[in-house]
Formats: sequence, structure tokens, C-alpha cells
Amino acid sequence: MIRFHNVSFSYSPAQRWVIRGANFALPPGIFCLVCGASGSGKSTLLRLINGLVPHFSGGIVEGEIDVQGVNPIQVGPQQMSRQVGFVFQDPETQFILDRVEDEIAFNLENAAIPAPQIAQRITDTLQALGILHLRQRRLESLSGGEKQKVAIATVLSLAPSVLVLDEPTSQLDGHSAEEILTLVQNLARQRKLTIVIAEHRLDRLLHFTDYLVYLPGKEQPPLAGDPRQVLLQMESVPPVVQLGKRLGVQPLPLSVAEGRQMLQNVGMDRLAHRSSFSQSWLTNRESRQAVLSLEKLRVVFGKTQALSLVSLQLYASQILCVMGSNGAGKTTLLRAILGLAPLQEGRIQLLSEDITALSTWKRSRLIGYLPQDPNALLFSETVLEELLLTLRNHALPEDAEKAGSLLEKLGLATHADRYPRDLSVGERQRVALGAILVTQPLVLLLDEPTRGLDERAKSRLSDLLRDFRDRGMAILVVTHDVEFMLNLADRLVILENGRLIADGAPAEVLLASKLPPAQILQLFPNQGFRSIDEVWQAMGEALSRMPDKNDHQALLVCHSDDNRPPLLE
Amino acid sequence: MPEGHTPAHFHAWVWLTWMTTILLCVSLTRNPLYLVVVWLCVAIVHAAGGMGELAGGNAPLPFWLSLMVVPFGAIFNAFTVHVGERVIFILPGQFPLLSGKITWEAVVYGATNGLALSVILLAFWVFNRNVSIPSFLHMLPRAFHSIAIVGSIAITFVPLLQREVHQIQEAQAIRGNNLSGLRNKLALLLPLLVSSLEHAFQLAEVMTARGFLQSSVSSNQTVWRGAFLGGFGLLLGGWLSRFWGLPGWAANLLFGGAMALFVIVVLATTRKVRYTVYRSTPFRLRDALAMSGCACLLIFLLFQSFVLSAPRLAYSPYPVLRLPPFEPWVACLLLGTLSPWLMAAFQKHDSVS
Repeated sequence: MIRFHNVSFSYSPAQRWVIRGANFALPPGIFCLVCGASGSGKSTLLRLINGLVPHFSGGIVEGEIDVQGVNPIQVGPQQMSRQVGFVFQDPETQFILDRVEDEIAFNLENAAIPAPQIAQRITDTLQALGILHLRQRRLESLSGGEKQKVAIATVLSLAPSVLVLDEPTSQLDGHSAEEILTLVQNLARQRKLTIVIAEHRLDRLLHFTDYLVYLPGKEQPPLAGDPRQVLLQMESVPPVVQLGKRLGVQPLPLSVAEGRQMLQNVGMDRLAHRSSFSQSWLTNRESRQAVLSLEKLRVVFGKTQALSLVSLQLYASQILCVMGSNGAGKTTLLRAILGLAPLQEGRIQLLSEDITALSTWKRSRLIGYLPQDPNALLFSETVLEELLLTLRNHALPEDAEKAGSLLEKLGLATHADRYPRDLSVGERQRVALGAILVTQPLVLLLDEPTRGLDERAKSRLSDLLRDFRDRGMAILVVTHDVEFMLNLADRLVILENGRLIADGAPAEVLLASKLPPAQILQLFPNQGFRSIDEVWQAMGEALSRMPDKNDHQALLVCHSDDNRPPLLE
Repeated sequence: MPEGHTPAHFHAWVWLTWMTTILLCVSLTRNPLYLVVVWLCVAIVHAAGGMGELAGGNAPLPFWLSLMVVPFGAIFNAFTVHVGERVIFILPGQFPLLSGKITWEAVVYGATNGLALSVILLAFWVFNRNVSIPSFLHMLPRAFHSIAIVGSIAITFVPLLQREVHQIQEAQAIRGNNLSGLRNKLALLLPLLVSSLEHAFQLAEVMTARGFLQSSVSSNQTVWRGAFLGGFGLLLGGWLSRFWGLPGWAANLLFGGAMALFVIVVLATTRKVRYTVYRSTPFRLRDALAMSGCACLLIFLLFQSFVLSAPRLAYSPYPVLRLPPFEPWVACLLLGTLSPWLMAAFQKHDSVS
């Protein structure tokens, strides 16, 4: 049992409350999801469960916390490590040794578990996670998903009764994330573990969730309880829940299966869409000149073909998304365009100029590149100085007015004098974006730009990118986030094992691929909807054509036979 | 026996003895002939590949890379140390440090130093290749467990740091910095420092959450820390008493007291530190045999240097270059550093036949 009774926390007396008046109780063996915007206190709440907060971070705690009969604030995180296993966001930073077996054994040795039991515990844990074959592997040779599984194995080996995970799938592709989450759910069932997990991507988790804790931030008390009840009071929810809320359906659907049932019940499952599969770029691409042209790019790392004869054209006023599983070559493609990954073969052309032999710092004047971790781009004392530094590097005039107006556009004008690394994740990303956009590049490349962003920050990023696209910029985005892609992309290409295997309209390509589809596509596989707003609009149009316009809900519900015509042709 | 631990491996103590012997050799002599013998022995062991727990774990260090330091040492010493009788040429002008006579003595001394560095480089590579981090940690007394962990983290941190430097260099290039010139290169330092601190913070949090040293928390830590400091105080007192010319017995008494205090603290804290050892590899006869050659050489070197104070290994090309002395029996003793390779080869032959 985990019980929070009137718990409030602040990192210092001078600062606001990060958590205010948290009251909830989690029975043993429950799967609890903690959600909320960036900076709402999710990580802090998780760290209160094992006492890392305040013992490691400092701060003021009010109220009472009880975890399996122990108060973590009194005993501290070291004592709590036997009861609470904590898995952090980035598996790379969690490892102390260099091999899987040694890493797990290290934990058990430190807990003074008798040596004969250690081997058995390692075997049992690895078997439970289905990674016994990784036992002798070096950690650096593992994939992202495998590393996260090892991180879970490391804490599970101590047989805790509570497993706390802080955004464990934020750096994984859809399949690996699904695999990890299913694994965690199975563990919860088999070992009667209480799972407390923080995530931004609710669509991946809601169907597992028994209990939901929502942190609204701004010193508002957390909402906790049955997921369907809590979701009613939340703004950012997955598409299937959003649709349920708009339709006023109770109880709310949590999974795609429940969503389909809901659509059947209200007669919306055969709703047609007038503007399905917008293909404007396909029809007129022959007549346009590509801004960026890649011809037969080949990149080899040792014995691995990271890119194999990839050819691609990127046009002005176009957002092209690149998807594929981890290790498919997506990041390598971006790095090759910038000259950071050496080409074995191929040619890169920017407008009519061959830039294959140009150095990275020269290419970066016309091709902006935002890497996965925007922190890597931040070096200066102030936000404004970041932008001016780029201009200085390129020997361009340090136009503070121009930099200021870009900051305005990025919504950072009020932060111009702040230290960039003190800002939130989304703000830091926009500073990094500003630092590369200040030279007004023709092409913008973004690598996993939604990593660690909440729904609001993602939506803001989408708006910004659409704005740049409308001003003529050619944009290439590498992402695992299908909902974000579907909402944003004009075109989608899929990479697999370094090869380009699909190129076309986003919904069409996504449905034909092996990638996990977006919820909206699972609900309406053939209608080409890309957002709930489009569904809602189509539904409104359908209703307006109905004979009795005064009883819309009744008309929607009345369909029950399979031979009924679509609501809109 | 833990999985993955094959009987062909040598105990970590073998490699520690081997490594200590090599380091002592290199620190005691600048005789190029003896250094060449040691270099050849280390190179043979290095070329033979993994004979320890991590057999084949790391790629071998190319010989040419380790030998690069020899010409570098020679050139650097020649242009910075203008001592010796056999002048090659005189660098004219008023270049600070550089101008003056360039001598064969300085070239030979620099090359010898380079050779010593090359031996150290290869030897560390061999050690790293044959001893896993956990084995290394378990060799240390329990009292130093936390220090050993910090050491292991430092070792695993090196590749992370390299990756970080690379990432920052790329980020600079993306921002249009071509990284030419010292000022531009300095732009690497701040982000590297920030990211290293962030990483250290995250790791500390992870270790706390995992309950690191939870089983070893002692209520008398302050007492033991005080006693340890007291030991250092006595040691300092001993040195000062010699410095002030007090009777020798007084200094020896203080040194003895310090040593006794250190031993008591280490023994007492060792009992308080609770952890278990998963990979406890037994020390077998073949380990003892593989260690024997190095141990003989080690005893000889210690006896020569600290008991006899005999300059049998000493050589300096200054002030006039002459042929270094070479005693075949000393060279034979130096071949003792081949003992792990000989033992491994003997075992291999035995198992094949």
C-alpha cells in the first residue's frame, strides 16, 4: 500500500509548491499512471515514494507518506531501496559497470545477498524479463530497449514490492516502448508488484492503467482515482479519449478497442472523409525543384550498412517526416546530410549546388539541424547570446533586432536575458531552434523533437513548424511519435535497415507499414482522418445533411445494421 | 564458477603483480637496452591476446601507436633540454626554450623516456584487457570499497566522456563553429563541464536509489575518520621530527604509531563494510606459477633499490653519450615478465596434446 496524506513539497521556502495537497492511496499490485505537463511535479512525486526527495534533493515536505508501512521521508532512499525499485528515464546514465551480469550482481553484492543466491537471482530476473541471452553482453552493445530492460532487471533483482518508473519509454521507438510496457504489466501481474509509472504518452499506457494520478501543476492538488473519472477533468488526452469526451460518452473509452465499440454504438464507425489522403505534393512534385536532393547515399559503420543507397527529394514548403524502428538509420540520414556521418557513396545537392564535399560548419549556414538533445547546442550565458553566437560563428552581422524578432516568434522574448539551461525542456528546445534558425536556413532538420515534451509543448512546436513551412522552408523531421507525425507531416518516408522502403502520404504509408499506427488511424483506418478536429468536422457536416437536424445524437445512435450508408460520401 | 569464466583465465592478482613489476622496472631504469627487453616482453604478452576474464574484450592497441611516443619524446627532449657534449646542430635565434644546442644525449634520453612511456601504455592495455572491473574492485580491502567503486565509475566514465566531447564538437559544428583556433576549442570546456556534472549528479542519484552502501552504514564513522586523520598527524610529526633533527628513534616511533593506527582503522572498518562477492575466483597453482617469474623480478628490483641501493639498473646518457651497461643475467630476470604468457602457452600445448 502506498498512501499520500495531504502531502505538499517545495524545493525551497522561497519557491512555489511543486506538489500541493496530494491525497491518494494505492492498493498493492496496482498499475498506477502519473501524468501531467512538463514541470508539473511528476518526477518529484515519484521520488517522494522512495525518499530521494527530499533526502537527495533537499526541500520541505508537509503531510505523511506511507510506503508498505514505512515512511520514506524518515528512513531515506537507501533503506527504501529494498521496498522500492526505481528506474530512471535514461538507461545510459544508470549503469555503473560494463556488463549485464556484473551490473545486476553489483546491486546484490551491495545488498550483501549471499554469493550462492546471486547467480540464481540473476537468472530468475533475466528470465522473467526474457533477456537471459543478454547475460554476458557488454552494455554498450545493447539497443535502447534492451538497455531499459537491463535497467529494470537491475532493480527487480532486489525483489522490491514497488516498481517506480520515470518515463521509461521516452527514448524508445513504438515497438520497443510497447514491449517494455507489456513486460512491466506482466511483471505486475505475476509478481504482484505495485507499478507507479510517469509518462507523457498516455495513449501507450491508458489501457493498462488501474489508477491515474494527474498533476495539473500551478499549485493545484493532484487528481487521483479511476482513470475514466480523472480523464474527464484533463485537457490533454489521447485521441480516443478526446473523441469520447466530445461525444459525451460515459464511461470513456481508454483503448482503441473500446473506441471502436463506442463508434459502433454511436453509428460513427463508417463516417467518410471528403479530403482523404491529401496528395498535392505527389501530383505536382514533377513540376517543382527540390530544395534538398539526396542521391544514392551510402554510409557504412564497420560492417554495418547504416544507409544503403537512399535517394530522396525535399521540396520547399513541405514537412517530410522520417520514421522507422531504432537503428533503422534515421539519425544517420540527418547526420549524413550535415556531413557528420561520412558518405561512402552518393551526392547531396542543395538547390542546384553540390554540397557533398562541403564542411559541416559551412553546410550549417543553409541547413539547420536540431539534434535529439537540444542541450548539446546551448553554450552561452543568455538566450539572446545563443542566437548572436551563431551569427558570429558564420561571420554574419550580429543583428540583435533580427534575433529579438525571432525570439518573439519562438515565444521566448521574455526569456532573452535568462540562462538557457535554466528553462523548461520545451523552452530549451525552442532556444536551440532559434540558435540554428537565426541564419535563415533553407532546410530544417529535426531529430526526435518531441522527446520529453508534453502535449502543449508538442502542439506549440507543430504550430511553429507549420508556420515555417508556410513561409517556404523545407522541413525534415525524424520522429517515433505517430500522433505528432500524423498531425504535422505532408509526406512520410519509412526507413528500415538503412533502406528507404516507403514514401508517400502519411496516413497511407503508416497504415501499410509495420509501425504501430496512430489511434486515429486505428479508429478510422480508411477514412484518412489525421486529427480529432477533422473527425469532428466531418461529423458536423454529416449531421447537417441529416433530415432531422434537431436530434443529432439520436440519429447517430440509431444506426445498428451493417448495410447502412456512410454518413458522408 | 560464474558463467562465462573459462579455466584458461588467470587470477587478477597475477596481472596486478605483473603490472606492478613492469611499472617498477620502468621507474627504476633508463637503460635503453633493458627497456627494450621489457618492451619486447610486454609486446609479446600483448600480442598473445586475452589471457584473463575479458579475453578478447577490447581491441588490441596497435604497436605503431604505442611506439609513436618514442620519436615524440626524442624530438621534444632534444629541443627543450640543451645539455650534452655531442652536438648535432645549434638552433640559432632567441626562441625561448628552443634555441641552443641540440645534442645526441638529449635525443637518446628523450627516446628512452618515450620507450618507457610506450611500455607503460602497452602494459596498461594488457591489464585492462585481462582484468574486469569487478575483479579489480574485489582485490582492494573492504575498507576501501567505496573508493574502489568511485574508481570503477571513473573507468566507465571515460568512454562516456569521449562520446560527450564528440557530441559537443558536432553541436559546435552545427552552430557554425569550425573549431579552428584555441579560442574556439575552449568553447568545448564549459558544455563538457556542465554535462559531466549533470551526469555525475544523475549517477549519484541512481546509486542512492539502489541503496549503495546501505548495508555498511556504521555508527562509528566519525571515530574512524578521526583516527585516520590522527594517523596522518603522526606521519607528519615523524617527518617534521626528522626535519628538525630530533633523534631517529622519535621519528620511528611516530611512524610506527601512524602505521599501527592505519592498520587498526582499516581492520575495524573492514569488519563494518558488508557486501558479498559474486565472482570469487580461487587462486590456483597455475596462477602461482604464472606469477612466479614476475614475483622473482619484483623481489630483485626491491632488494636492489631499497636494500642494496645498488645502481645496477641505472644509466644516464648525460653528460657524454656512452654505451649503456648490459648484464645478461639481469636481462634474463627481466624475462620473468613473460611468465603469464609462458604459462598460458604451456597450458595450451598441454590441452592440445
